Amino acid sequence: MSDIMIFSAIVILVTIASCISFTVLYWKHRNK
Amino acid sequence: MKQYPYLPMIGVSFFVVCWVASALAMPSWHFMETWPSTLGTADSPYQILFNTGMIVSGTLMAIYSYSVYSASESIWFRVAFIFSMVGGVLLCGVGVFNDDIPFAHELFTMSMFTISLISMIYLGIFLHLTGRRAFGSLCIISVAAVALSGLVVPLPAWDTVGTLFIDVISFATSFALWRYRFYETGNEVVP
Repeated sequence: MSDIMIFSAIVILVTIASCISFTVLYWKHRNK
Repeated sequence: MKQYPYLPMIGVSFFVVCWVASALAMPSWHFMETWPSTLGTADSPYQILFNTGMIVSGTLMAIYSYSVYSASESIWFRVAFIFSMVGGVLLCGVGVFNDDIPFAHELFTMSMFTISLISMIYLGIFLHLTGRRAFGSLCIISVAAVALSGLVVPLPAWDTVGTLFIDVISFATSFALWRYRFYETGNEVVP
């Protein structure tokens, strides 16, 4: 795999992880 | 804040016009064979036009998303439009950092694609929960289809498919949300 593909995969995974964490935090914040 | 339901339609149309104009001005660029980002590099005669198209449509998308964020109490709706707002800001970044700066360009492009697709999944779930099942299914199935097509379609073509998909579905969903009086009737079911 080329460097750019590994980089893309990392960016995509980090974005998905941040989206999930944001949703969980927002959900908890609303239900306080 | 006042809602501006038509902004994505203006943004997408403007971007497509910029895309077509800059593609016509660059004979070495071929649809589905060359990266769309090539039109924003120093090799392209209408470099400024293509990048301006992305910056303008990203800004309009961000304003739209911020303006409709409070239209529903549903967490799915709100998070969908928070992500779509971030997607708009990232799209501006894609226009500012063109492919002559590959690291930054790739960073903005990939995160913009991912966050926009996730935003559409959330919107699809919201539409399902509020009884708009056909629209909801359309959002979720088309996102899955575009994401999975990456396994079979070569990368420059996939980039084009993804760009066109985000254009078409932003146009279609903002039109549908506006046309079907979503803002008056969309809040009855809150998950």
